[in-house]
Amino acid sequence: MKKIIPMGLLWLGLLLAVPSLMAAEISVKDGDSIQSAVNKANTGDVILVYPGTYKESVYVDKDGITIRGVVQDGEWPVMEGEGVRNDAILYSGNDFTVEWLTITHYKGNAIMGQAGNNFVIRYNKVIDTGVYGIFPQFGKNGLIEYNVLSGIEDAAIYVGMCDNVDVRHNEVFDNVAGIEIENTRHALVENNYAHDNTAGLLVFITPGLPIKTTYDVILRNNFVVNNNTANFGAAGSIVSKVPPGIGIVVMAADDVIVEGNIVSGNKTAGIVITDLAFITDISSDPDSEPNPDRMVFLDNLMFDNGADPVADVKALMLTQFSRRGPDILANLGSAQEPDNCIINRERYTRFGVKKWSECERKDTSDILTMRIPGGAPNEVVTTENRTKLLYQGICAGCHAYNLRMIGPPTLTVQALYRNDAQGIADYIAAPHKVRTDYPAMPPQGHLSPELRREVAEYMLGVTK
Amino acid sequence: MKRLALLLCVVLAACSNDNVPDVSSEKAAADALQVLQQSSSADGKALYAACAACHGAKGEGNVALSAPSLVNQQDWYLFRQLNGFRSGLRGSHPQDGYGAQMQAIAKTLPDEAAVNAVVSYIASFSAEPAAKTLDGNIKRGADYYSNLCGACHGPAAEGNDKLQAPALAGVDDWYLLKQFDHFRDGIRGADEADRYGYQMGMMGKTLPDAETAKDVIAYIQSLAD
Repeated sequence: MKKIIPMGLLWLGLLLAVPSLMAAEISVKDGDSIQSAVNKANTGDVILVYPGTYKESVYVDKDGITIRGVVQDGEWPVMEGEGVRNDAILYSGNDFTVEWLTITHYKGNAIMGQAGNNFVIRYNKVIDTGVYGIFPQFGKNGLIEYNVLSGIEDAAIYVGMCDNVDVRHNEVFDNVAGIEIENTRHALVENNYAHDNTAGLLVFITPGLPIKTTYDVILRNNFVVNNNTANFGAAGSIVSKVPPGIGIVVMAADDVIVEGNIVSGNKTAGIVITDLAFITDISSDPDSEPNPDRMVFLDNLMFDNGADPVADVKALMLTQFSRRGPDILANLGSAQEPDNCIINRERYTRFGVKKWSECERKDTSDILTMRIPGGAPNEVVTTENRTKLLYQGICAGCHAYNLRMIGPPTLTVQALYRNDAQGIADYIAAPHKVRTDYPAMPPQGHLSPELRREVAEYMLGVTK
Repeated sequence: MKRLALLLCVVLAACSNDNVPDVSSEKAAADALQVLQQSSSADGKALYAACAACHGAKGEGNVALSAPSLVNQQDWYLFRQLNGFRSGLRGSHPQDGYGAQMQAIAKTLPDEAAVNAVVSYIASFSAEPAAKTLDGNIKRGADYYSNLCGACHGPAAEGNDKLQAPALAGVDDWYLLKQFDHFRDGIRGADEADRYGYQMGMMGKTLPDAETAKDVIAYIQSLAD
């Protein structure tokens, strides 16, 4: 009897290990389709994409898939959007990895996650892909590292409505926003090089989204340099209102630690700590507390910031008898409160930190990662929560309740389609452009008619 | 007798609220009615003679009579509104005195051909932005406009016929404010049968206060320059 139990466990172990034992490698060569390989793949399979040009959008809606580019003699596999396709990679499966790809000329996103947990996005080059470069949305436990992204008209790396994400060793330049941590909890942004964007690193709350908070974020050991590029975001969009010349923005986010960064050459200010009113007056969300609370500002190297601030900041600084912007600008809204703290404040040019307290914490060496040991459990999808998940994972990527993100605000959609969920369901299957100044909506025809109808009804009922 | 009833209608509606047309407005409306009743023409120019009493010979409007300029309003929008007045979708709320005037007048247009004719004639006028009469915080107005209003009315308030959202730039700012207030307060667009009016009725409740509405309209006015 004593021997049977270990034997049983052994067999059980073998059975459980079957998927990985059976994991296959599927090769995709120039002229083949990555999507066909994904369609054939099972959990645990690795899709090897060889050098070549792949003109397609790839949807991954199963768990445990890896798409791995094979770089040979400096030749990369290239996903080419030709300015007509919306997304290069869309994943909703859990345990998804994508690496070693060059992605260029897509209109919407290079890599977008729609509610997949335990994602790994690394070693990718993303060039001129429209709105977002790497955009995991509504996922838990992710790693984004060693990617290089440029020419994105919103955020190069946009971590939206996620939990437990590490963003490290990435280079982001010539974008409007370098790295955004938005409506996200528990994020470590470390060792990145953010230069020549309109703004380098942004940690904030966008009101009107399903997730209402941003907190527990560490910005550590990043280079945040010369972010002075004129804002080229779509006119009228929320990101188009970010003033140029800012290294780091912390807006309404709580418990943000800033440590060990080199922040220099940003012409408006090195770091701006502010409440929601900084970007737009339309900042009301009953569930989003608008103030930045408990900021911890540890040792950072800051110099040569604020040489030529934007008009609003210049006007503000004139009240301090200065024409220059500061390293630290914290006089906006409630950012001046003593729940924020700083050490060695005398090293910086600063405005608004007089009341800040001295930090008790001196470093963050005890925190190595924000990811969850052992990974996040998969979301359990039921008929009750699936429409909510769909809305949060897909729709809320572009539609905020009462302000313009990428698509029109949910409020306006509700006015246009009141009592007509079917109208929305039909439209999103094959959208046509109705607004000159908004990007065309990507088709959602891959969702079944029932799901489209359900999510449309859900959208009509959203109240904040 | 019919004419008397219509006149009575106009006067009664006008007296029942604070949107009360004054004596000169009433007289102009009465003149318009008279002109239309005596006209059997489907000629736009001849029909417009009635409109001119309030809206001016060149569609330039007359703030003293609370008659907006027409030259900056799109022909498809004027067509829809005239038909709305004719069917009673617009101008039926007891507090909409001027709307009631306009409804009474529009109802004397015999058919859609007449509506088309008069709208075509108005479209032949040269457009000129109405003069600024309101002050507001344009920067704040732009913020709200681009976030909420622009989704339908377009980035330059130029209108979007695909969404049946009219152009706003160039339309009299005082008129826009009055109409916005009417939408917000359910005086216009409260009837669900008025599909597009009802849409605006919903949006009319999304600005936080009256001051913001003025800011937005001041911004819209600035787009016309």
